[in-house]
Amino acid sequence: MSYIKTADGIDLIFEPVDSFKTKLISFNFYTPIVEKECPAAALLPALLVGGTPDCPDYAAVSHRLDMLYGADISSKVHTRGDVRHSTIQLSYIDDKYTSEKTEADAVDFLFEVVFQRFFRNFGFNEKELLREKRILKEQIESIINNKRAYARRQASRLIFKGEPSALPVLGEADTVENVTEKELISEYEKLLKNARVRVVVVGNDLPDGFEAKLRDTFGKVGRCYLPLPDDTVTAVCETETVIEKMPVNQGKIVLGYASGKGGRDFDTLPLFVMSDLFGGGVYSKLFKNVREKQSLCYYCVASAVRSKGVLVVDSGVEAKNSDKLISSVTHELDAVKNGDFSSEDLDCCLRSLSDELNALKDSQYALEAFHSSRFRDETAHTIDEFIAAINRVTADDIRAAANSLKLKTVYMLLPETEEKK
Amino acid sequence: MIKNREIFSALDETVHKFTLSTGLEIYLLSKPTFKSNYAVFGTRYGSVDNRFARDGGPFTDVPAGIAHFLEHKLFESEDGDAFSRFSATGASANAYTSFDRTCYLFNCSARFDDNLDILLDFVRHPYFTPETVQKEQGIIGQEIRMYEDSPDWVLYISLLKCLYKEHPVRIDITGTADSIAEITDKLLYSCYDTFYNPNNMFICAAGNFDIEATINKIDSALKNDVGHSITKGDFTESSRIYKKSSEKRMTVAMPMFAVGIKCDPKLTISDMVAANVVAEAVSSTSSPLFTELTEKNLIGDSLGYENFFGNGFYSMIFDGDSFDPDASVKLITDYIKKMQKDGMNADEFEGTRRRIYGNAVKHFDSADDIVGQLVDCAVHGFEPYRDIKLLQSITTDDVNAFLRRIDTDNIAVSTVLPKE
Repeated sequence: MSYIKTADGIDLIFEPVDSFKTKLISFNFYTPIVEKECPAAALLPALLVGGTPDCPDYAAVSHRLDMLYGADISSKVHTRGDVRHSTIQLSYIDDKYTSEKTEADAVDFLFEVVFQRFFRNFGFNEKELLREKRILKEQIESIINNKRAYARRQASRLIFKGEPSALPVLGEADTVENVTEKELISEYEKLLKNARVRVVVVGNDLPDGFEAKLRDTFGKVGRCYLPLPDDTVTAVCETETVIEKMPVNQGKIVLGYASGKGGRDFDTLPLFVMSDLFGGGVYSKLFKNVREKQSLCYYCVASAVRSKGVLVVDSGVEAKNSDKLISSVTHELDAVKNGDFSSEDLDCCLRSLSDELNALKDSQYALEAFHSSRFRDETAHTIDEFIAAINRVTADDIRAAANSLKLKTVYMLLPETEEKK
Repeated sequence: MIKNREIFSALDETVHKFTLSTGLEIYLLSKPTFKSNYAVFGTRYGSVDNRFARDGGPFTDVPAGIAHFLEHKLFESEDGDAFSRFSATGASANAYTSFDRTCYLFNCSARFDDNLDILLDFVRHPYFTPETVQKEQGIIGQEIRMYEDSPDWVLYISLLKCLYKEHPVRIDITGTADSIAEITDKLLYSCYDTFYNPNNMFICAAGNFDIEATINKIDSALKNDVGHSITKGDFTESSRIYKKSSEKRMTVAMPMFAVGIKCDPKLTISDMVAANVVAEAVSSTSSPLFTELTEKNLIGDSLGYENFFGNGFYSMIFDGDSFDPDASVKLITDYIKKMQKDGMNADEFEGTRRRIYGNAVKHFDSADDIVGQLVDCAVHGFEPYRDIKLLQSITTDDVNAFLRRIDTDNIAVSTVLPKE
């Protein structure tokens, strides 16, 4: 792996892998989440991939990609702690497998998508604004279709109340309509000029002249890098319980725990490992005891937002068993707090995590995600370094991580017709 | 004993297909540069197999959802469970049941041989008791509830119930709470003994393992297994749809639709390639159809499609979210009619072919995609990578001939609408 700092706040990570027949390049922009900027920030990446000055609409972009043997360009917006991570990603085929060379054209197209409107002062026309606003609004509202995702989102509003990460990553539906072209242009300029930027390339080689092109292009933007503030660590406080009713068949329970201790990637590994031992794989406490022994649910899993010191457990359960589920989860967490897990349990957990991390090397998307999600440090670690670090986590570290957790939020999405017992 | 050995190659990849004397088929693809391995041990048994006979014996009828139930139970044994064994090696294990197959799999970056031993062992040694069956009712009951709240799944299964009257593909894979309550350990053993025999099973794997060592290991481990013949229940499915439409109301943001064109289920691999070209061309964001749907605010950012086929069934399905499902469906069917009348134009054909080819190349970058395709070959009896070769030689005439076989009046529409 190569790490290259190309400018202030901009770095390039190249993962040379000769296993693949395609290549992947992502441009990743990280900005603080600010509520009033949310709708414009959510619209912008989709507008950029939806058309360029030279390919002015979906049909033209699609046709261009078809000619590049199905190159795939996509955009996404993630929440990473209190930071918005906006990404534009291109996957394209190696010239070795096509009758004509298309790689250079694919890379040019990616730069066109990211930069061309800016350099040509192009703006965003009304037709594309109307289209993308409609689609974004539909996407925001459609979260209700997936009850598990909806419950997670509602719970996040409560767990992170008062913090930027409480805001839904795509913003609120009723704010989309009012976004103006001016706001979008301002957001676009912020992205290129001020944001933390990480470019990730995964493939058997770095495209010819890529580093120079990157330096040169950003060099013309007029950068004024604004470093990101650290994430707010979610405070521990009294437990809040919220019940929402909806016409559903199955209840969804989300529990949020706060530790009051956040930190960066390698500083929060005990919580990472603890979360897996507690509620990760099929060896975990929650799988073995809550699902398999008690047959309470089909899924009951834990995940951590490590930078903010938060652990989340979510499960789908018969409404009448919701109290029993919460009680069972609490019992299993208490077990971890008391060190009621064997060295074999910990070994299984570490072995499984190590194996899974090693397998990431066989997926371009997983390799890209590994690096693009670790943007806080202006350096890069290999997967092997990360594996070595998690294997240094001890049983004492896990007990300490568990003991720091206090239940902050109980969110329940329950059927309208049943009373919770 | 290895009865037959064949090699199939495409795009610098080679898959070795072995057939043992018991009938078991094994597909192995070596990826020496990969860090991990992905292996599936599967059976051509799924939710459609609700009536069967073994070795010419009497027929057995089973409740809906039993194939999936069996999949859950197979991980358990008298002295523990397979998950614990995989945990000890660090592998990640899972399983899935579909309409026409059940697959048990692991993914690992170390100890491939040990994990293969576990897979070969637990899949071949069932253990079902009344107590363990009852325990699973709760877990699968919650899985069923989860799917009942999933509008995507409700949309899909409702469409299948409209398209098919007799074919068991209309039955939900997980069954219902009532149907799984009828499952007993004896019925599970009956299903297992019939379908989990080497004559009906396959192994597919891709990764950095050694091919010769692996095939020898499999051959040795399974040498005493005995193949059986299976007779599946008969039924007559009309070529016409069963019902025109289904409408359900759920808590969703906007209407969802799925339109299925019921087609002749007798498909060759050449037909499948042509079908993929047609469906891709229709649903592509570069198609005039998509442009019109978008300009009229009748679709979101994509129109989904699936060529849904298996033994005795094939439908071309398109789906999306739309404020006016009827208008969207009409535009889709009108577009296909236009393609039938005018033929696919050369630009559209070439763009679509390149896109499908690019996707085929991409599949080789993922061990689970590679294995997924080999599983399809094993289930459908296709030659590996024949579709890639046919894609390179297919013509607009071939595609237009296939297009003319589609009856756009033989359609069913499923919608899920917001609750009033």
